[in-house]
Amino acid sequence: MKKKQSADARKRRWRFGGYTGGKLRALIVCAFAAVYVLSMLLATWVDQTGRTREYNERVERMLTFVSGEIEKDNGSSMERILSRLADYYSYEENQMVSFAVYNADGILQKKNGNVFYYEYREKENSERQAVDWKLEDYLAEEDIALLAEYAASVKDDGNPKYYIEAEKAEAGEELAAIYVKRLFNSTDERESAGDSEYEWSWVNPDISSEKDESGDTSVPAGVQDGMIGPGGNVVVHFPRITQGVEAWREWNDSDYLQDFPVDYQDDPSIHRDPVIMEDFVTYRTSATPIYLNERPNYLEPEFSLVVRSVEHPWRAAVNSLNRIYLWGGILTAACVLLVLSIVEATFRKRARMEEQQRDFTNAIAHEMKTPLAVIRGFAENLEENTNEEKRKYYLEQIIGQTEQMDDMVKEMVFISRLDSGEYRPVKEPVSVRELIGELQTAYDTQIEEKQIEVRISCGEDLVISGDKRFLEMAFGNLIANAVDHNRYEGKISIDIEKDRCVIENTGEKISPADLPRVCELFYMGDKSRGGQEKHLGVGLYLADRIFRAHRMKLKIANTEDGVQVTVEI
Amino acid sequence: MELKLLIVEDDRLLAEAVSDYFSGKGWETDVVYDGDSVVEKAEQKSYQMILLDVMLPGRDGFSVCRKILEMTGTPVFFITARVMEEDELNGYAVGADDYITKPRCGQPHQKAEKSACV
Repeated sequence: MKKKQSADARKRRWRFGGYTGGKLRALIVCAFAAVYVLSMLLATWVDQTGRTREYNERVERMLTFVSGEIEKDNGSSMERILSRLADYYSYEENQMVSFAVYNADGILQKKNGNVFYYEYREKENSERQAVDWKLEDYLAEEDIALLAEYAASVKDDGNPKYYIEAEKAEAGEELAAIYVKRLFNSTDERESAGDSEYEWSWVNPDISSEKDESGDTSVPAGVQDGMIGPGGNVVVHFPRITQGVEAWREWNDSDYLQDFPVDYQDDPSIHRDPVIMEDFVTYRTSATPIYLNERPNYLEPEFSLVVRSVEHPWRAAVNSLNRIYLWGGILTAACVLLVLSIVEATFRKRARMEEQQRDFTNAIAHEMKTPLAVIRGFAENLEENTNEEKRKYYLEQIIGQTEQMDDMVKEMVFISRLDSGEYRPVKEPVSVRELIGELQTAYDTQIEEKQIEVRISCGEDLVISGDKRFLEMAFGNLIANAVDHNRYEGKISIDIEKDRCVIENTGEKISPADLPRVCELFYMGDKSRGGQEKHLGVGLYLADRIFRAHRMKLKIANTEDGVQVTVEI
Repeated sequence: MELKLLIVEDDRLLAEAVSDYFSGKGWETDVVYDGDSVVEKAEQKSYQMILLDVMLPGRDGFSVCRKILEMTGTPVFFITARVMEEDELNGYAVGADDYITKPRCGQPHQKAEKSACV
């Protein structure tokens, strides 16, 4: 019943997740979760701080660049500012921002978008002129997307695959045509391609309607005639295109990056700090170019720049730390499991020790109670009975029982010494053959009572260097078991060899479930296995411990007829 | 009429001590040492009382008690070294008349006398 109870208790413990208390487990998990969250927050904060600083520096650089260029030019015009910004923006690392330029009155002058920037001189030595062709004014959305894809296409070697060209109308400043040309690696390649070097083209129908009458759209109008209008530098701008079409689409779909207010009513000079807006950050700053021989008038800035970063520093930090979060989470989970298993193992060990201690106390109480009951019974008989012979017998039994109790106490003390690791066996040569002979004599009465046949065969004697007293106890327990668990008219065979001693009996077999546990302290297994004597579950434990202290092994196995116990060096 | 007692105890000396005590008081005593032969013995003879140990080779005392009560209705006294409260409760639960923990001989006798007189 006790076994059943402890099995129930074990089941109960497993149902609630082991020996560690639920609160402690929750505390461990929470502590690790808190450490994980705090450390990830710290990492993200450090990362975003760096990014914020980087964005600020980028805006400063942008401003310095534009101001410096204007100073070199020794003249200030909004066109010049825009031209410099366009140059600036053509560098990949600068495309992380979207910008807008406001004049001194706070009116929007220019914002970056899908444009052709065209810079030209009407005549030689004449002043440079510039024009922005916003693609939205000329092309449908699908055409712009197609053009962006051409702009983003690169060859295997990383060079652009296409070259996008634009033409200005002869009169006025209208965009006349756009051509997408394939870029070739060699002249031969170009010649063999012929006219097919034109991948895509668009002609402004308002300007070239007459030329389109031929209906030939494969060769773009104006190609044979050469460039329409004066020569100049054409740069096509698709924001973020150098990072790929997807990055451009992200920009193209974002109202935040495109919709700059038409004018700032407040004084731009007071907004020098970044302003957090939605998912992005807006930096607004203003400056006055420093002209040669002129004192800058910082109080009246000539233009102001509003820069919006395509990435919010926090969001960018979170994106870049994705893997850290994942691995950090995995590592934390592993740590939690490790700590939980260590704590669980500690608790289990403690629980087992407590259980063993409790069992030990119970078993001692039980074992002490039986001889005490016998003593008391005989003492009561002694008191009641007047027959002298009987009284003498009772006295002898009382003395015998006290001696048995004394032995038991010694055994318990010995177990406690074994458990504490204090015991060191005395080294003296002990002959197992002699020992078995002595023990056989000691068990003669029981052997005769059960009419057990004992056969001892000895090749070369097994001589153990150890403590005879304890080895006698260990072998004594094995013989006692062999006799006690044997059947009536059974057999015991003892084979002694140089390095082993095998004791076999013809008793009932040990159940497979009990077999691995028979050497545990107080393990009694199935009591129905028989045996006339009561067993405390100490004998095999003691024998095993003593043999181990002598660097020997005790093996127990079932045979066809009974049980085999092997002691080997 | 001589009162008959069946002692079920695997410790031979204790069984002997109890048996001698009861014999001295005029009881007729039989002793069995394991749980398997109790039922058979109780079927063969009519007892006024059965003194039963809990931990026995073969069938344990609780199941023996249940079986005896089903068959004969003889009063059963547990006499055991098991001192746990749950064991005592279990003893009463299976229908024992009393649960006495060792070491006692006089106590079960007094109770037996009282029980037998009733």
